Amino acid sequence: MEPPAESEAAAAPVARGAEAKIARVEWLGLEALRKDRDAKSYRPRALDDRLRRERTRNEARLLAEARRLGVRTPLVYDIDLRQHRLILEELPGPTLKELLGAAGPEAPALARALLSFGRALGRLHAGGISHGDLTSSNVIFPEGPGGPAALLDLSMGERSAGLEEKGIDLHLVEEDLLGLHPRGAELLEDFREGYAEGNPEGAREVRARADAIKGRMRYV
Amino acid sequence: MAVVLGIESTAHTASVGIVNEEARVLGMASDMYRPAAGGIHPREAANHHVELFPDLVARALAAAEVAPRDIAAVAFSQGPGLGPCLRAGATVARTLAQVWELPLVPVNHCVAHVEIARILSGLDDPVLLYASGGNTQVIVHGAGRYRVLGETLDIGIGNFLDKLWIALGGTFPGGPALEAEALRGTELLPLPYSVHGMDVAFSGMLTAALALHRQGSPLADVAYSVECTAYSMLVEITERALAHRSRKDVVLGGGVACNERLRGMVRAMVESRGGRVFAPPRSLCVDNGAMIGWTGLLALRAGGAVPIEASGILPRQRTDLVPTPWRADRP
Repeated sequence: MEPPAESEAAAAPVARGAEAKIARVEWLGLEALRKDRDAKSYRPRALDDRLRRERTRNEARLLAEARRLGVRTPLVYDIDLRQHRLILEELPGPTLKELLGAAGPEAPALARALLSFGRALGRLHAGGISHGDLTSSNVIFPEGPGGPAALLDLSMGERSAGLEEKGIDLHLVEEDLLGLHPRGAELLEDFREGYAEGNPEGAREVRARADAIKGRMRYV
Repeated sequence: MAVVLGIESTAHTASVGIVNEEARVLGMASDMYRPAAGGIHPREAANHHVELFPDLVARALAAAEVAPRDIAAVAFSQGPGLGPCLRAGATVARTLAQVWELPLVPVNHCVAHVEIARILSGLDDPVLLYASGGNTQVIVHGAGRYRVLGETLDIGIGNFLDKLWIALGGTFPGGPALEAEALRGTELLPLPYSVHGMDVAFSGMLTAALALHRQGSPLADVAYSVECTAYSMLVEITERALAHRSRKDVVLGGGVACNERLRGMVRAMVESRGGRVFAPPRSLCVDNGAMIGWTGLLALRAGGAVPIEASGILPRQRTDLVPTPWRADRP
């Protein structure tokens, strides 16, 4: 039997998200992250298998396509659909969520970070892709808050996203910024400025849809 | 000890609850409007509430064994909800406050679901999964407000289940009947699974489920598949909220949160993450006056009483527009 490409012994857990466990491994001599989509015992096995397979495949595909659009994402080294596993490049650096926290940087650095995040999402949308799970944990700054933003976990994104999917992305950013930071409204302006740069043609329309989503009636 | 009378009338339930400072329910009287056929009609529900409120107030007072002079304030659901229904409850609250010369305290209905679950569970900073007819939200506190992290992008889960059940030939409310039917289902049929980040949508599943039934799938399997798929979506967005906001504990609220299958699925998820889960007893999980009274009491202490002129209903009031001066932010 062939030895596994990544060394299990070196596997060190890094994080546990909602969906996956992430461990640091050595893969063909490279430092990498192994992302395993956990089985969810609460849902029926058939549904769980289907969702984990779809998302693993979608994530690998969209990470690569986003990079072609000039959006920084981790490189995909390997994919194992049977085990719902990806081997990914590790992008170290603070997440947007960390920057928004109490220990985050001063206002000008934060504004630059939001501008860069906006640009990245704008480019993604201009290229027809939605993110699908755009929380501040999925935005990272590999070169620090002054450097370009990278997007993580596109597993729930759409390759030919419509206005609705893009509007939802924007809506999620808005909710997150307002909910996590006391000056969220100002930061949102920085984000929007960057977004309009990245998606000059579509920004207005997508903004309008995001507003419509926010205003939708909950009593039908 | 201060006692507050709370009035709830956001949708089909009219309820009066009286609670004390220990969140003990001293007395409560509720009645649910049930249409003869089809779904809820706002004006008819409001008429039902107007007719019943005088009796509900009297019954709650009698059960609590308190006189109006023992009451510190009257609280009412200000929103979100159906306009005519909210107006019925607000009118009763204003009248009582004036006649009894008491402070009047408006309360956000969704916030009340969180607050009653928090005090009953002893969990300080949980995520609320609020699943009812009109509301489907995942709520967590942050930066001075309750924040809606995830919600339905189209219809509430309860309305979805009701609509489906009525289209399949049943009557309102559909949830309990669908739950009973689902217990007999065995085969998981493929249905659209619509999770967008922390949001969900149900209208695609409604169409697909009706199509499956038309094509001959047994009712029990359709019901079972709908429950499994829809509840999986709710549990997933709740788990996302826990992971994203670094929380562990979950509380439940709303009529659909009384469903045993959903409760079991939430418990499995929360326990796998090492957290605790709490579901209030049924009477305090569905719409009820006691949670309004309790939240009114919290708001009253923090200066939340308003003059009559400022007590207008807010049918589309958003949870995150309501300040929560009675509770501190997490450090």
